[in-house]
Amino acid sequence: MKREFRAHPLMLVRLLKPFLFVLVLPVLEGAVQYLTRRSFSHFFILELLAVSLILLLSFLRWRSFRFSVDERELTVCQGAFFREKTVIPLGRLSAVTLCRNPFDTLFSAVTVAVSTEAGMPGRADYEFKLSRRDGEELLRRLYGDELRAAVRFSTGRLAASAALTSSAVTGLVIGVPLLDRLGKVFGRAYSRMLFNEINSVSGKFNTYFPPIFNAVILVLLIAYAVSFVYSFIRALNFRLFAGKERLEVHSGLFVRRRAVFQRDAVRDISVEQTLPMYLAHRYMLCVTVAGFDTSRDGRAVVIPCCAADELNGDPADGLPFFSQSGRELRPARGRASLLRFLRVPLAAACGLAVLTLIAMLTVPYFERFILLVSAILLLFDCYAALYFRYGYRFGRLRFGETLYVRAARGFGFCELYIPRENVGIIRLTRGHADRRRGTCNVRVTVRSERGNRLRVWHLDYRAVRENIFSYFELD
Amino acid sequence: MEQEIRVPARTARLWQVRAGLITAVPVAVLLRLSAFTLWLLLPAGILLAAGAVLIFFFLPRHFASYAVSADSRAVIVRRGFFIRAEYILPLPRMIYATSFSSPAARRLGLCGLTLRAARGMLILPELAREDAERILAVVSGGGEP
Repeated sequence: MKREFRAHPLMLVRLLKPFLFVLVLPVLEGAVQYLTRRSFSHFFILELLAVSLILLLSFLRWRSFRFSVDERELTVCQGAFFREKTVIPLGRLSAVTLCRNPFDTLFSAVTVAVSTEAGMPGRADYEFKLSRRDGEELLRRLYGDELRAAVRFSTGRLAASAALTSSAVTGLVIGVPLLDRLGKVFGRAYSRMLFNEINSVSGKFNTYFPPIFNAVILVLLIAYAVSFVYSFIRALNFRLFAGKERLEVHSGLFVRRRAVFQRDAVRDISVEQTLPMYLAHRYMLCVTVAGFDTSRDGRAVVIPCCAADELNGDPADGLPFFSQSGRELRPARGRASLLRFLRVPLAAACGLAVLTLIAMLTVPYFERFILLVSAILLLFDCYAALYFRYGYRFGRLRFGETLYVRAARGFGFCELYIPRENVGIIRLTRGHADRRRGTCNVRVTVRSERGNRLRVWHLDYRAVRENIFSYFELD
Repeated sequence: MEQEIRVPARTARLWQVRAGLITAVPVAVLLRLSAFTLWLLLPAGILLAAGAVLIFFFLPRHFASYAVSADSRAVIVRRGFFIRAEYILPLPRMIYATSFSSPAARRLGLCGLTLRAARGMLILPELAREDAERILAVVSGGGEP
C-alpha cells in the first residue's frame, strides 16, 4: 500500500540556507537599522524584494515536495515550476540515514538522507526533512520491524576508541577552520590569540631543543584533544542493531544519527587498527556500503573498538562473508626474508645517522635543530620499520569463499574480507630482485566507490598466479 | 528491441526559443552599449551570427538525430549530427530514473528523463509525455535486481 509523506516545515530553513548570509541576514540587519535609526540603505528595497521572492519560491518548493513509498519503490516529487519525479526501486537503495540535531529535536523533525550507488561521492542522493514520526514510519515500511539489540558500548570503551583513533592531523583539519569561522562571526582574531598564547606557554619550558619544538608539541597536543572530543561526541550513544537483512547504527550526542543499510549492500568488511590500537591490541570493524550516506568513502563503523576475541561474536556474527577459508599465501620465513622487508628503513637509518653526523660537524651552531630534525625523521623511520615488519609477520593472502587480505596500510593496519564478485583489479608487480627470487607484490582493489585496496609484499609469484587463475576459473 | 522513439519537432522548437532568448539578451546589451563605442557592434554581430547558426541550423538537426530504444535489457540512445554517438545502458546497471519538465515543456506535452547508473547518467531530452512514461515504466520494471 502506498504511503505518502510531506516535508516538515523546517525544510524551509534548509531551502533558505544558501541565501542566508547573502540576503536574509543583510535584510534583517537593514530592518534592525530602520527600527533603531529610522533609516535604511538604498539597496534595502531591492534586497527586500529579492528575499520575498526567494521566500515565495522556497515556500512553493516545500509545498510541492512529495515522498511516497510502497512495496516496490519509493518516489520523490519536487519542484514548483521545474518539476522532477524520481522513482527508486527498493532493491537499489544503499542506505537510509535519519539525523537529528538540537534544532530538529526542538521542532520534532528529522533529516532523512536517501543514498544509492548513483549518488555523488560524499553526498546523499536526496536529503529532506520529515516529522520524527514519519521518519520512524518510513524506516518501518522500508526495512520492517525485526531487529535485535546487538551491541551497546560503555562510555569508557567509546572514550578508549576515540583516544585510539584520534590524531593531531584530524584535530587540525577540524579545529583550524572552526576557529577561523568563529573569528569571522565574532569579529575577533581567535587564531592569532591562540597562537600568541601557545608561544607564551611554550616559552616557559626550557628544553634542549629549540623553542619552536615546545610550540609544535603544544599545537599537536591541543589538536589531538580537539580530535578526541570530536570523535568521542560523535561516537557517544553508539549502538548497533542487527536484523536478518539489515544493520542499523545509532550514534551521536548533539546530532543523533541513525543509519540503516541492507546486509547485501555491504561491499567489503575491514578490520582496522591505527598505530595506538595496534600497540593496545584493539581492533575496529568497519563495512563499506555502496553509496552510503554522506561519508566520503561509504564506510560505516560496526564495532568501534574491541579485543580480538570479540570480533567473532555479536554483532559481527551474521555479517555476510566474514570468514576465512582456503589456502593461505604468506611471505617466506627466515632472516633473509626479514632483511628484505627491512632494507629500506635500515638503509634510511644508516643514511640518516651519517647525514646527521656530517651536518653536526659542518654547522655545529645548529646542533640542537639538527638533532631535532633527525629525531623526527628517526621516528618516521621507526614507524616504517614497524610497517614493513608487520608485512613480514602478518601479510597474507587467502583464496577461499572470501578473498582475505592482510597488510599494513598508510598509518595503520588492515584486514580485508572481499566476496569474489566484489574483487576488482589484482595487480602483481615484480622488480629485479623479485624476478631473481621468484616473488611478487600483490595489490588487491575492491570493486566499489571507495576502492579499498591493500598490498601484500614478497609472495611466491607462481603460487599467487596459480591461486588467482583457479579462484576466478581462468584458463 | 522495441521500436525507436524519436524526439518530437516541438522539442527542437522549444530549444530554439530558449537559444533565441539566451542569444538575444547579450546582443541587446551590446547593441545598447554600442552607443558608447561602435566596436561593440562587432561582438554583437558575431554573437548574432552564431546564434542564428545554432537556432536555424544546428538545433533542428541535433534533435532530429536522436533515437531512443528501450526494453527490459538495455536503453540505447543514438544521437549526434557531426559526431555520432551511441550510448548503451544495460538495465541491471541502472539505479533509478528521474523525469523532469519545465513549465513550457509541460505546456507542450513534453518530458525529459535522466537515467542514473553508478558514477554516471544518461540524459534524454524532452520527449513526448507518453513516450517518456513508456520508457519510465520499462526501466523501472527492468531496474529490479
